[in-house]
Amino acid sequence: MKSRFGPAVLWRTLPIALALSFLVGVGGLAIFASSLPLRDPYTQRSEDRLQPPSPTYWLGTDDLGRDVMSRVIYGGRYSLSVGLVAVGLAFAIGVPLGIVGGYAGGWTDRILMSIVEIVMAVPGILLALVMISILGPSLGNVMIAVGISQIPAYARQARGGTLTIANQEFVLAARVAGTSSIRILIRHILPNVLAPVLVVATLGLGSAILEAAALSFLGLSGDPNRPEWGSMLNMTRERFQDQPWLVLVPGFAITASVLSFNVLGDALRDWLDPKSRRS
Amino acid sequence: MFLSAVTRLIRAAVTVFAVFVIVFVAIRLTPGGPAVAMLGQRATEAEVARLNHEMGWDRPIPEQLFRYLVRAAQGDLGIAYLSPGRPKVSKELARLFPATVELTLSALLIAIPLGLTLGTIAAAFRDRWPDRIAIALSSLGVSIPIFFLGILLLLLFPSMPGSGRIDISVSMRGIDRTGFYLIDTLLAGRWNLFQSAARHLVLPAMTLATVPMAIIARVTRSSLLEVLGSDYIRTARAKGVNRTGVLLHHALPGAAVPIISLLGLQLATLLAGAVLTETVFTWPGIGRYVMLAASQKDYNALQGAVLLLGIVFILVNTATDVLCAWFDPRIRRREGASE
Repeated sequence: MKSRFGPAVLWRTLPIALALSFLVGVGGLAIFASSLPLRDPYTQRSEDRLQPPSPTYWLGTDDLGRDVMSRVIYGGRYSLSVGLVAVGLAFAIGVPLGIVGGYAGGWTDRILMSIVEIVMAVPGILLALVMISILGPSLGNVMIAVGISQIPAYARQARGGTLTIANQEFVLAARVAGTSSIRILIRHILPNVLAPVLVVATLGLGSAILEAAALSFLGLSGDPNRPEWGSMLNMTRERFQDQPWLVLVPGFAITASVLSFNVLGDALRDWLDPKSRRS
Repeated sequence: MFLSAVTRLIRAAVTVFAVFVIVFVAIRLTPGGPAVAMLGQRATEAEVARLNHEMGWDRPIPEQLFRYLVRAAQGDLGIAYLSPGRPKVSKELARLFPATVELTLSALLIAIPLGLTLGTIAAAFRDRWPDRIAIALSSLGVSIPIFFLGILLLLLFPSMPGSGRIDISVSMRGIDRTGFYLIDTLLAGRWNLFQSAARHLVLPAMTLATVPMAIIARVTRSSLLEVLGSDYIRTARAKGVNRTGVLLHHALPGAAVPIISLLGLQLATLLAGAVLTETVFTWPGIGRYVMLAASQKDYNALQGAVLLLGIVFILVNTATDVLCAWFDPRIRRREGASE
């Protein structure tokens, strides 16, 4: 690095700044959507069908005359929260599995890791397709399916971290002092494995949003009228040649959100583990 | 080496079998029963009972599993109940499988050379503009939804065909021998049909290639950078081998193992990509079949496809293991020593 503010620094920090501001912007708009001066995302205006972007409709209207801008902003509510819930689910199941397996070792570990391996062997989308085919199409089932397919990543990361910590002196000291296993896991192991797991979670948010959008695109998230980005693309994809804004707007929203989470995840990893920056 | 490959093969087979059993049982535990799910809520009790009897769903699940496996071993996967004409699942899969393989292999043929080139350039120009552009491209490649990319390509290349494997006006009847249209049309000497098949393949293959290409580029870059720091590279440089020579003849083979094992792991990504790509481009392959079977609740078709994909998974994993050992004598020797 030549200077503190040279192009190299800019190159590293600019994407992070852009990613953060994009996510804050989209998230903020989604949260406060109902208090913004937006048209209702469900109201159909047959006289305004398929309007191109204009001062009246900034991002145009769809085939039912609904305002695309308010749909994509409200859509952030569904698409981002599907990602958050799925990652939360995977985190809540995967991390305990990983630290219990890593700490207990032996048969407990082997059985838990075999289960994880089985889930990992199934491509996420296949797992989701089978689950939704059985449980029925709905946004809730999309969240569950995406969450389950992500469990292995958390379990493995948490287990790996636990294995390196479980034999360190402070853990052994706690054991000698008669601390219960549950207390050791929660008070000593968990805080120490959390940092790398958070990297997995940030990157996982991107892939969860991507996977959920894919499932909605396949029409598996139930109500097609809901302004969810993947279903918006699905409903309008036949019109891409004549009304390209209908696919470009939701497509861009998904791509930019996923890219932003990936950029933030990479940055977080570099920050927590300077070694990976060099390789 | 041989023994450990067999152990891993058995391990993979057990995992896939477990997955299949879970899917098989889960289908039969569908809320309300699979027959009701398939026929809809308005079906009469008699209709439900008849379907249950016809599919054998009225028997105990372990018995069903046993019967299914015995028949599957003979190549009989039952009928696709909800498809028009109720065709045999095995026939449908055999018909659609070559389409997916053709698409996937074409995608790999695009992704591997491009990914390797991009990754090598990035490593050679580390922290300079080519590197940054390569990183930015590969970040974009893993972030863009594959179905959106497919639609974008259709927008950008409006003259390229965007659905099916060949012009709908022509028929493959009589020359459809292997199911691989590129090969069949060549064997029959039908040059115009070959061109049509190739043109139909371009956009779907490009779409499906993006994610693997981005990932290959990343791994190539990072494993090259790791290898470039090692002693034998320094020795080669000290001997007077130039930068390009070191990169291509010394470093790249050394970085091959992580790249190959990655390719094996990419199978899942490719399959997920195939489901979406085949849907966007109405490509008549297994991915689209699985999607349709799942959304129509055609359970026989679904479990048959899962079984097929599981077997493919085992085969690809084994092939990857063998290839890795081939490329890295250290793996061969280490595993030989451990036996």
